[in-house]
Amino acid sequence: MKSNIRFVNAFMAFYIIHTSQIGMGILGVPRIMYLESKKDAWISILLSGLFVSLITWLMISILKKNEGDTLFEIHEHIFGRLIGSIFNFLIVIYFIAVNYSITISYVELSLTWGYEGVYEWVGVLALLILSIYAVSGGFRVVTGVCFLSFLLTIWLLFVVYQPLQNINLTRILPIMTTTPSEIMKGVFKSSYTMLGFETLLFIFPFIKEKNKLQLFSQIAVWFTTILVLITTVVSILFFSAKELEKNVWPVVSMISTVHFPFIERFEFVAVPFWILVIFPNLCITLYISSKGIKQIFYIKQKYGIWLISIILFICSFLITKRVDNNYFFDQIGKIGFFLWFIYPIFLYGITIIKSKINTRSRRS
Amino acid sequence: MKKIVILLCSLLCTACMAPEKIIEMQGISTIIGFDLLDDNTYKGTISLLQFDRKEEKTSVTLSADGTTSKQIRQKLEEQTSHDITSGQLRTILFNKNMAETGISSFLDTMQRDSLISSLIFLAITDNAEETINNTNYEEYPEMGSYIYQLLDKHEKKEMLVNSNLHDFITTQYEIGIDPTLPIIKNANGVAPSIDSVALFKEDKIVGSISLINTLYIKLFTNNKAFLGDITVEIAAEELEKRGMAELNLPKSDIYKITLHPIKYKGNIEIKNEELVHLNATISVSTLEFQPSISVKNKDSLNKMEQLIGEALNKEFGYILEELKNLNTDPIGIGRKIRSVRKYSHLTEGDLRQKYSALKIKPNIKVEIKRTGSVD
Repeated sequence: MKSNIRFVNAFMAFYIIHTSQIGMGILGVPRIMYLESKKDAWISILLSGLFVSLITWLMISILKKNEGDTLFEIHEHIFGRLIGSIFNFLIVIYFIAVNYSITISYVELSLTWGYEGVYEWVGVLALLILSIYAVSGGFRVVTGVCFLSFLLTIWLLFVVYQPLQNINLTRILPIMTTTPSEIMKGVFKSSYTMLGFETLLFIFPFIKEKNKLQLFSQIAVWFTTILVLITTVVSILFFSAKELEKNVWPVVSMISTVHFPFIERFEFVAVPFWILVIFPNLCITLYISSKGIKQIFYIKQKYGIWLISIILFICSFLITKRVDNNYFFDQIGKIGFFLWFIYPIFLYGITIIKSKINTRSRRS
Repeated sequence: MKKIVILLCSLLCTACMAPEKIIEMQGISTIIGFDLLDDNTYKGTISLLQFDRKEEKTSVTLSADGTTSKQIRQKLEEQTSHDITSGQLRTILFNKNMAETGISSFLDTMQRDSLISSLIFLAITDNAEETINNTNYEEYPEMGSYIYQLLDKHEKKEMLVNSNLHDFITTQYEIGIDPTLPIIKNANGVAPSIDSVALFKEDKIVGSISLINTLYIKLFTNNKAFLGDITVEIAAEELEKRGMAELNLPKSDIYKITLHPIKYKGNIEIKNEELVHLNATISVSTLEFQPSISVKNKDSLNKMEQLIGEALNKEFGYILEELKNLNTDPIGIGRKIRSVRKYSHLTEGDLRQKYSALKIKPNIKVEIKRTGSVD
């Protein structure tokens, strides 16, 4: 019997899934979407949200069929120890790459807005040590980080109020001028921002009321979709087409027109504040990947955390240029799309076949 | 182990950095002006605000030549012991002759540099260096603060169309709308003042419009701006023709009325490819009648509203003709045309061509809401 201390309430799943979806992606998503699906980017986001919601439902079905295992355990059950471990290892590498992409994009952002000339590894080290400290505390601490981060940062949404005064509705009109294939390309490109719901596959054993999980994870997914939708629509209305295509972080550029009587340059508050938004992302990806290492090599999670952190730190010397970063994020988005948008469908099929075989063999 | 981690965290995450920016060492630039010298060299002039208490002067102006704005800055650094920072930069002035060849190449650095706010004002002047070196700046510590206050006040309370960096770049990049910028007049012995508003075609200056007339632009581009007071003149015979003789009009050839807009609503209506209606309703309160008239009954009030509307439409018509002649579209008619599905394929070139042949019908309605404390 597992002790009660390992569990968290089902509504915590909302914070975990939502905060791991929102991160660096949302700062640049209006531009990336606009480059693909132009004025109809918002349609792509809604479609993408729908897709994510379906996949979430599918994931929970898979998990329920496997009686409270994480994806790592499911892989071992289905494919056996050896092939399962190879699959798990690939997933661990994916999460390390995601962690690195978040770290380096935040470091790049903060170097552009205020810390020019500082070495990348300094920023990476700061973020790493912080996340090592949080993850060492175990799953409940990670959940706490997600919860606090949500409460501390959700007010940033109201900052959009000031740019709202300067928008022009004609910029989004006429709707539906892009071709369906461009809209689908937009859906594909949105994956980097929408990813994060896959955490569900790894937190399932820790949720107390498993029947409520569906509700809270759906709320989380749709809440994220709405946030991404709002930022994209406001950015399209706020910037002219060419300007939006030029800005690397349209949301930060938009925030730079926000000013209060007591703070003239609000973006210099928002950019350091964003560390709170990405902190849960870092913790969760580090947690999952170290958990994977533990599963594969049967070593303590603590060593996994340190091993991954060292790998990440070494990486911070390698990929540092804007152009390389862009390519890197693009690749992660692509791999993430196939891994978490397409793969669960296959996995669902395999689990169903497997359970049929099991029941049949049990009968005979 | 844990303690070391906590210690490292607290050092790194409080962003403890080398003390680079000490206020006494900073030369805070508040305004920068660019003049075109010849083909490729520009002269940049800045006004620095200094916080050194030992020095009596609060500001210093410096000039240097260079080919790019950052090169100019580099040369300016040579002339001062202070560290020039652009975080408080509030205004960029451009010489008129630079604006004639296009200023967008200079705006690239302003957008790229994250230290420069996107709410910084842009303005045109005859000679940027002289304007900044002008020593008449009322009670402000230096020229940069004065010009910033001047522009800020006019944008918030008077009749300037938004003219900050963000607005300029957005409208310049957008297809179907052209930017505008204030022109600052500089004369010997008096403080610089706003003269008129420059009209641009893309990033090149093509003409100007008086400050008061920008109200017609604001009616359709900005839905929360201050329009500024409107003065119309109505000939006496017009009033008689409409049968307003029962008002007991005092004898005068011309009646002058000043109105204060309270609320307004503008709408660009695309009738078809050749015809555009510019509909607007302004509710006003009357500020001044010369000579004094009191409009009491509803019928004569309606007639008065009609007369004022006609006078405004007539003037707006002239302005639209001028805009068409200059082929500049600060109102954003092209943008509105493009937002209609049928015309959404039009390119910038198509719109420009269409614009000069476009029939634009102004249709401003005035609604007298209040008349002050007398009728």
